[in-house]
Amino acid sequence: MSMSTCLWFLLVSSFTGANEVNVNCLRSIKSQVKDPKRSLSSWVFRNGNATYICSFVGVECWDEDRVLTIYLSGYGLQGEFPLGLNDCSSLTGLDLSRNNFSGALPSNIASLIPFVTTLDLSYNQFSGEIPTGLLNVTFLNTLMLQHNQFTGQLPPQLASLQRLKQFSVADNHLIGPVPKFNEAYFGSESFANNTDLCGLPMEFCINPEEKVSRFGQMGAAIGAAIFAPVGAFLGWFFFNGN
Amino acid sequence: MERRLMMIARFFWLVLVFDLVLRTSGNAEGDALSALKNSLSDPNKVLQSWDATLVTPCTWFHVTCNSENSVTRVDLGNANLSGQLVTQLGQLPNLQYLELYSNNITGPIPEQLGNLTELVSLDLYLNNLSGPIPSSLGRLQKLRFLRLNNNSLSGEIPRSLTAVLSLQVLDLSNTRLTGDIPVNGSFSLFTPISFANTNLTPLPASPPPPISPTPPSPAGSNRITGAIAGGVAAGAALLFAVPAIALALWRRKKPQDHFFDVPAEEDPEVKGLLKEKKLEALVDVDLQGNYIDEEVEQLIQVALLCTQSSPMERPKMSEVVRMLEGDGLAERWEEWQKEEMFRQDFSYQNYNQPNTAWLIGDSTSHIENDYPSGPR
Repeated sequence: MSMSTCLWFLLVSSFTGANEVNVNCLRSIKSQVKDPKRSLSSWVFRNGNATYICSFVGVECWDEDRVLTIYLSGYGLQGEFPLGLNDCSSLTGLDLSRNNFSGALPSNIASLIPFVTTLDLSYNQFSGEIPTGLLNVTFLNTLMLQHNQFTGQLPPQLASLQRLKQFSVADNHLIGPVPKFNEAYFGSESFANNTDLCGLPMEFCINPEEKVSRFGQMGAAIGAAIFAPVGAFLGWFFFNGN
Repeated sequence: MERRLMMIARFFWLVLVFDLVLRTSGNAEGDALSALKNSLSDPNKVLQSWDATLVTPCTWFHVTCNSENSVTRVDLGNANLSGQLVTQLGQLPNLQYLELYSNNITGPIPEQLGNLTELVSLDLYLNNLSGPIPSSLGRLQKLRFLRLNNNSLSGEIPRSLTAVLSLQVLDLSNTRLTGDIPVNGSFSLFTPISFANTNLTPLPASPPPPISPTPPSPAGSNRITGAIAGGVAAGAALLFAVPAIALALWRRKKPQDHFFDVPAEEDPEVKGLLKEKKLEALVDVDLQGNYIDEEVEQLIQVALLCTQSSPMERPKMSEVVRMLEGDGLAERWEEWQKEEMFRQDFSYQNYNQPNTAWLIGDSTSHIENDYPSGPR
C-alpha cells in the first residue's frame, strides 16, 4: 500500500514542475561527479525552458524535458554514486559503466532510482555490500554489477526481481550462496571470479555446521587410524606380559 | 514513310505511357500527403509548399525523402494544426518518422498506419485524438518510439503491441485508456511512468520477497582446525579406552593360581597315618617296600609344610632344598607341631569333637589372600 502511494507521489511530482526537477538532477550530478576528462563540458545550465537539457551528452528525454536515460559509459568519471539522481524522477535507464566510480552503493538506492529498468555499474571500483534495497527496484530488467569490488553476500531478495533478464556480478569479492531465481536462469559466467560464491550454477554450498561435523568425522577417522595400531599393540603387550 | 510515322507515333505513345506511370507512382505518396493537407486546418500555413502538381513531394517543406525519392520523414510537430488524420497515411511504404505531436488534431488513429512497416517513430502525443489504439500497430516490427500520451484515446491496450520487440519508449500517459497493463514481451521494459494518469489498472505491487533461510555464516578456519583436533582427540581417546577397558576386565576376571591348595590341616588322614607311622598306606604300592622309611617320613613332613594354608608359613624353595638335604627340617617340623597343638586346643574348646581334633574350624577363614605370593 505504502509502495503504491510512494510511487504515485513520485509520479505526480514528476509532472508538476517537471522542468525544474530534472534540471536540478543533472546539475547536482555534475557537481557531485569528478570529471577529469571534461566529458560533461556540454552540461551548461541556464534559465528558461528546460528543453535544453535534452541535448546534453549522454542524456535522452521522454519528449520535452523529462530525463529518460543517462548513459555515461567510458567517460573517465570519478566519485561516488551520485545522489542527485533522486530528482530525475522519470529515469528508466542508468549506465555509469567503465568509469572510476568508487564507494558503496547507497542502501536507499530504490528511492533514488525507483523506475530504472536498466542499471549498468560494471567496470568501476564500487565497494561494500550490494544493497538489499535493490529488491525494491522492481522493474529491473538488466542489472550489471560485474568487475567491481563488491564484498559480502548477495542479498537473497534479488531473486524476487520478477523482470530480471540480464544479470552479472562476476569479477567481485562476493561470498555465500547464489539467490534462487524463480523466473530466470543465469549461467556461471554471471557469478565467476568471486571469492567464494556457492550454489547453482556454482558448486553446492556446504552448510558450515555440516562442514564442521564432516571435519570432525574426518578427524576421528584420522585419530582412529593412527592410534588403532598403538592401542592394539599396548593391549597385546599387557595381555601377554604376565 | 508510313512506317516511320508509325514508329514515331509508337515512340511518343510509349513516352506518354511511361510518363504517366512515373507520375502516378511518384504522386501516390504525394497524393497521400495531399489528402492529409486537405483534411487538416492550417492557420500557420506550414503546408503552403505542399504542391500536388509536383512530381514528388520530396521538395515539400517538412517532408524528407530517401535517395529513391520515397518519403521517409514527415515533421509537423508544434504546427498549430487541427482537423483529422487520413487513411491515406498508410500509403507511405518507406516512412520512418511520423511526427505530428503538439497540435490540435482530433478524430481517430487510422488503422492503416499498421501498413507503415518501416516506421521507427510514431509521435502523436499532445493532441486531441480519440477512439482506440489500433491493434494493427502490432505489425510495426521496427517501431522504437510510440508516444500517444496526452490524448483522449480510450479502450484497452492492444496485446499485439507486446510482440513489437523493438519498442524502447512507450508513453500512454494522460489518456482515457482502461483495462489491464500487459507485463509480457516488450512491455517488461515499461514502468508506471508510461501509464500514469489513465484509467488503466495500476501495475501490482511487487510480491513480498521470498522467505529464504538465513544464510549460514561461512565457517572460519579456526572452527575447522578445532573440529579436526577434536576428532583426532576423540578417536585417540576411544582407541586407548577400548584396550584399557578390555585390559581391566581381563585382569579382574583373572583367577588366582588354581594350584592345588588343600591346607595341610584339612587332611587328617595324612597326619594320622604319619603319626602312626603307617607309611605303607601313603606310598605307591609299586615301590614294593623299596624305600627308606626315614626318607619317606621326611618327604611327607616337607609336603605337609609346603601345603600349609598360609603361604607365609610355607618354606621357600631354598629351604625345601636344604630340608631335603637334611638340614633344618626337624626344627621346622617341631614348630609346626606346636602350632598344631595350639590349634587343637582352640578347636577342642570350641567344637568339642574329640574325633575331629585335627579340624581347625572353618578352614576357609584362613585363606588370607587371593593372590599368589610371588616367586620364591
